[in-house]
Amino acid sequence: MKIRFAKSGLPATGTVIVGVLADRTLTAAAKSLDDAGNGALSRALEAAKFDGKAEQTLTVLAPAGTTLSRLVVVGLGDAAKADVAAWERIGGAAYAAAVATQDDEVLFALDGIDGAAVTTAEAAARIGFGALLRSYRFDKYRSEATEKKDDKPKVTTFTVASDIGKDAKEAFAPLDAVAEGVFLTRNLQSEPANILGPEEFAKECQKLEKLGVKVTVLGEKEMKKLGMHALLGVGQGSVRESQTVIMEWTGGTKGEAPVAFVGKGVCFDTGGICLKPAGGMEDMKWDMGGAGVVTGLMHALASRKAKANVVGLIGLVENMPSGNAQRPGDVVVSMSGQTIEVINTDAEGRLVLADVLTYAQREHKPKAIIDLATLTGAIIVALGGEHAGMFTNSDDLADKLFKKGQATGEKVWRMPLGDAYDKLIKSDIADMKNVGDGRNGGSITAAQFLKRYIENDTPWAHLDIAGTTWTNKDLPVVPKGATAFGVRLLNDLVAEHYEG
Amino acid sequence: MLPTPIRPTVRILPRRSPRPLADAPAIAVIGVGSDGQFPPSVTLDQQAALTAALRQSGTPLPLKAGQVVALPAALLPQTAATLIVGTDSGCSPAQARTLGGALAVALRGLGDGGADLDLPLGPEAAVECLSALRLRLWQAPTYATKADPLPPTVTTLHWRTGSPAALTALWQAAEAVCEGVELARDLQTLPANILTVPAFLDRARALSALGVEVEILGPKDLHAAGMGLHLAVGQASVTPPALAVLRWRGGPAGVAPTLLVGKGLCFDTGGVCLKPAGGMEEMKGDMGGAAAVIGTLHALARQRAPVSVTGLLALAENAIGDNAYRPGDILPSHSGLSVEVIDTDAEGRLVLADALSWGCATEKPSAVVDLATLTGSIIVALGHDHAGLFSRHDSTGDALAAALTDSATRTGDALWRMPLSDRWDEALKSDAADLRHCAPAARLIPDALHAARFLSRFVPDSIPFAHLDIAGPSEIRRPLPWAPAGATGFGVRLLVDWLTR
Repeated sequence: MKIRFAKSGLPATGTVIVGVLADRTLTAAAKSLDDAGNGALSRALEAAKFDGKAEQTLTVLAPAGTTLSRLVVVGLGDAAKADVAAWERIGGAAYAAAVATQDDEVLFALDGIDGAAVTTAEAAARIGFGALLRSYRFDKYRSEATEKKDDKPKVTTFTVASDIGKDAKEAFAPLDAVAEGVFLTRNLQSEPANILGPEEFAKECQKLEKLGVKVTVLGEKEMKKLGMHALLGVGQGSVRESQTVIMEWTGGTKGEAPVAFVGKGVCFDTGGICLKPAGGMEDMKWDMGGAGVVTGLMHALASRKAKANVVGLIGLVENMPSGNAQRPGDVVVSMSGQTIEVINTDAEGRLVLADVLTYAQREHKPKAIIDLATLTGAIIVALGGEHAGMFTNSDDLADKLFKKGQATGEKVWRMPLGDAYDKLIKSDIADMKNVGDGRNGGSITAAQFLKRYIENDTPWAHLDIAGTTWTNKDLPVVPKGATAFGVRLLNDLVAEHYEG
Repeated sequence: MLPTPIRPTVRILPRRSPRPLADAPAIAVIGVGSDGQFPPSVTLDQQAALTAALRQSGTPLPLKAGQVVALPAALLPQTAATLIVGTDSGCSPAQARTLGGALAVALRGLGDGGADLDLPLGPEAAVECLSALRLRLWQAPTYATKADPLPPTVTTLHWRTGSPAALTALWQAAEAVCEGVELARDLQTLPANILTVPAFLDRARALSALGVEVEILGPKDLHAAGMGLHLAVGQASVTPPALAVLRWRGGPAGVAPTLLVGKGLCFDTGGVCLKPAGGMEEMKGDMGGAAAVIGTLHALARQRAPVSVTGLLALAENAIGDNAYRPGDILPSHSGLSVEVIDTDAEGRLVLADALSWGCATEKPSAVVDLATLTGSIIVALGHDHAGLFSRHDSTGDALAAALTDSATRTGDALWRMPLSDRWDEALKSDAADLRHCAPAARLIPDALHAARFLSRFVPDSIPFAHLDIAGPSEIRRPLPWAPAGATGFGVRLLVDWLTR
């Protein structure tokens, strides 16, 4: 879907969206349509108990006094309090209500909003961004035989009309780049594991070279030479070759230390010899969610030409049971030299991340590291799907991520680290084991494990996104399915704190 | 039947008291600084002998801070043993507790005389060290008829200090807190056939001797007050449910009290949604919240603390029986909200909801804190090292959370704040009642978050409210400096610190 920006003005035909503010206060566009229908719109709002709460919607077909096919009214809430994320959600909700239309174009008549907390251009751009994010659909495997003609959205253009269409277009350009990154991430997360294995994933990363990203792929031979046996052990049960991909974007000052983003990319996780139960195992195709986020983030940063040095590193493996699979009790030597007793082959993500974290620090000397991983079920029990778990050795990074989470709606909640938890991963025969006290504090012991691979107290944050990577219901700017949670959060983090 | 627990008496005396002391302590405990400096009570000759002995034992000076070395007897006059302790000036409360715990471990079994302790700690650190020492020596009550005798362990601690008056006052307050913690641990440990609801009520009534006003609401009173949630949880047991109200009014007249509410499930079978057998015996400790509340009231009353506090013990046994409440039952509550029961094993939030609502209406508190061994989910989230702290995300909720977290840091009863969100109202939506108390069982649901949101619906928005899910730290498998493995009395030290500051 294309997002366009135009000068204010209502078309005579087609599908139109207008806003209504809190307490059923009509915007100028809503008022003009209400007048055209001799108050029919007001009566409809009253009949539907539509009070203008943010994201509330009402559809009126063939509205009285007009030649429109469809009118969608969307609640704007209190414009004086609405931040950019609120406008995105309004855009998403409006799109979701309008998408049933048979027209191929939809126009959101925003005009100007008096007393709004953000500029009209910003509000318009964010409405477009929200609509675009909500319009994502992963339908490449639905053939005509099963896809009902009417199910497929017909809308190809979503236009936001406002007093200052040109400024809105400028404000939208970087958001468009972010949306492209989000869509890339969602595609990667949605692809089934028979299509997207480690090598196929690495090929997708190489496409970023067109945007000026330097992409390096390490195969098993190279990784063996580097001593990345923790990662290799996870992948050894699969016929597919493990990969590590390094994506470098040098938009900042030459020679300046980069920020590193590290992603867990388990393209499919059967659990290995510690096989998972069958129920819900299909979800494990998105156990590469963290790597998907890092890839989409690099795409977004490169296509909006971020003025920062950023390196994205992802460890790609498939965790399979087989005659050559890693066993519980195996001891592996990680790239850092630390030894690991593998107690549970289904706690494999941390093994992959450990080596990639070491590689990132040895080769790129980053000034900060953020890793993302669909790491533990325990974080879902702890926080549900509202927040990702954040573990960090830096109060400063914690503060920045928390605030950006609140601002973007990709929220994170800080969880504890500490010696008492670290003791739980003590092994009798190696430097550490890969699980702690069963499920108890399971996300924390996983984070303690990763912390042992952070050198020289480099500022580091680990985001456990197991609860937020996939949604089983539609959210305002995220349709049901892969969320790409993290791309918008980290893009904004880079923009505010690492560019300039 | 119960052996006398080890609760050494503390005597505070001036630092320069002559050695040996008149009542001839059997053990000398001597702190040596990182600079190798001995305390003045040790003569130069004795210092030389001790230094040589340390070298001989393979632990020459300087010792690491917190390191404890036991030396053979005859080095100081009239002592059976000498413990040399590495100490650091500027000892933090946490370091002082670690030191106290290490001393407790070293002193156990060394003889049941007195100990003469000379450590260069300031009054605050000394009190933390002594409290940890005493609390680490606590032993669970035993009913073994042929129990091994307790190892002979110190009965008196003679603590030398440069400021005896200041330390004496601080220790008296700390001793009251130790008693409160020990009371809570004793109650947590008692089996459910001994600590029934009526037996717990007897313990509550005993606090009136300390000046606490005690009111008991029995089943009839609960019925009259409309507390249908609390009644339902207890209805299958032969010992009926009750609410004990403990009022300590040490503060100025007319000032609103603080309300503490403790979950007191004397035993939790899970009810009709019966728990699996493995580990069910641990459910005798499902009254850990109520134990913390009674322990706190005990400590405040013994301190004659100038604060006004009401403690509620929401007591019941969640039994299985022919009169048990069932999944699907719809219950009236004190607040007026109707509640659909989904899982009879999520009973704690039911008794708490009624107690919170009744307490807010009756006591008109300035703030309310509940403590409960509420969910397994919080243990998955935080393990045993932190309790989950939930409070509203507004300025008063943030302030309450900050104050409680401060006290947690000072006392070592660790808290971690978790999000309290109305997002979970959807999970708590019932088709048949105003709300349900939990979501249907499923893999990976954030039950601790659901429970916290459920409870917050029963506390008026105008009252600052915090919920502490203490299922993790209430019972531990690895010892802490101030607690052996087992029942911890978690919450008493935290709450007394918070209330008296």
